[in-house]
Amino acid sequence: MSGMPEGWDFPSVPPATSRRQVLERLGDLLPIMEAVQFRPGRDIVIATGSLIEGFGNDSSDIDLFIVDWTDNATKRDAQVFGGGRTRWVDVEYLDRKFIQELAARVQADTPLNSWHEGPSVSPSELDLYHRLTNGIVVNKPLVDISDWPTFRRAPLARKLTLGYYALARSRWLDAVGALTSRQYGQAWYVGREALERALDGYAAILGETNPSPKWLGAKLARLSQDPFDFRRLFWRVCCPPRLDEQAARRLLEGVDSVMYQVSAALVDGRFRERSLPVASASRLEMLPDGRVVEIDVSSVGRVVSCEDTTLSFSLPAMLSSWA
Amino acid sequence: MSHPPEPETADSSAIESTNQLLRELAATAMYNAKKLAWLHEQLSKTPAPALADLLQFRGHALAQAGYTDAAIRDLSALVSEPSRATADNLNKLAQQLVYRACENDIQDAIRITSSVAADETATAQQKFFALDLRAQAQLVAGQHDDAMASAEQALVLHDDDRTKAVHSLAAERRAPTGLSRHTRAFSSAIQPLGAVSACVDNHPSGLAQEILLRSEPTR
Repeated sequence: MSGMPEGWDFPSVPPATSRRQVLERLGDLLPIMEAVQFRPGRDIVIATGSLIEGFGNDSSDIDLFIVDWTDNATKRDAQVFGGGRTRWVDVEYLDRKFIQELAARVQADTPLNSWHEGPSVSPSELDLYHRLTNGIVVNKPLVDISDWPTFRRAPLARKLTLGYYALARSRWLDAVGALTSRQYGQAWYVGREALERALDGYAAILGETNPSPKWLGAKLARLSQDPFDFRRLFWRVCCPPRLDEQAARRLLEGVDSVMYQVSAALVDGRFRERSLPVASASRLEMLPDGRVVEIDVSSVGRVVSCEDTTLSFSLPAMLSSWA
Repeated sequence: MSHPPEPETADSSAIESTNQLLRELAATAMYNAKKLAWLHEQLSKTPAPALADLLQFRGHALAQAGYTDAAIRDLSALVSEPSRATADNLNKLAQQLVYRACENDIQDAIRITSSVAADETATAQQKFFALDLRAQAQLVAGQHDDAMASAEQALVLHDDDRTKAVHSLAAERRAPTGLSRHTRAFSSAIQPLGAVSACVDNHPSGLAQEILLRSEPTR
């Protein structure tokens, strides 16, 4: 991308628009369909998520919505499983009534003067709507889907932008207050957050409606049009002028170091001395089942299974070995 | 001292109907064995089969062998692939759902067979089978008028005694007047498929069970 600082790179694959592209990115879906007990007489399977959207990487999950499009949908819990695949699979079950109500709520008109009243649709629902807007149906529905709502992007962009505008304006006021008080560091830091939210709104208006803050750089890099060239402002403010692997790694190691101490304090109530150099040290992850998993810094961004015995151990054993 | 009564000899019609049932069972077993051998042969002739090929062979073979639950699992996954959502695969899946008849199986079977019946690329034979299965499913669901209509549509495509039996069962359940001769003949021809699941036995419709358990050596 012309003008992007040296060494910078963002995921920029175009969104998938066909089932063929879905299969190229996700691989054969048949084992997943077996595992989730797909029901042809009622289910609509929608591939969604970062891989479909073009933001994915080697460690991205496969995200699927399975929508029961019958009148007597049965409640099923979300599933997350590895199933021996190289990617984890995240399955969420939805039903017809929920989908139709969600579409109606997002597409309901939002007066411009209501931006200060807070969101009329929750962030998680906007994310869901966005995923449905980008999702690709991978099976041939055998149910009547003539009442499947059209997931238009424009109402989503409007609601998102109103929300982003409210956030940006709030931080902007904070930044101006800091500036007039000569707190330039505070003004810069808060102003940067205001800029990011304002750019989220700008990207949404231009069609990039993924609501996750982590994709702002990728969204701006992928804009097919940027009439005010605002992405240069983003690069200038938010990105160092030069970037290489070592610089990115150093940042992650710094984050890892902070997270290590935070997690140690949460696990046993105190910070810890780290005998190993930061680059080869680890951080702790607390699992819902009570176990604690140590993850090496080199695996940052990679899903590590708690079933991997080389990486999982009980909390007492961990404490005694590090005492 | 009294002697226990001599067991009563079964009447000739009961003996004949049992003989007929055993003949049907033998014929069905032979047909299934031939079909399984044919599927095995076809798989061995398929160069570098894809996962979908394996699922297809496995699903049809499991259905033929009476392993209904496993067949439904494989065939359901298979038809998620649009190119495999063929009339034959869908009909086989719907047939297994009708056999199992658990929870939403019957309604699912009605939707699946309706999609085949409406498929312009399906052959008359495939449509006949779909309509016949739909009639059975609707009969089980208590949709007697619909079952009769489906059976009538099927009979336009192909004259079949078993479809006529489904039609008469639906007619009788719609306006119960006792079993007809035709229905009794049909009922005597039923045979238990190996893996019909327990929920079929618990299904409220006794006549539906007869339909579910009927033999189909030519399908």
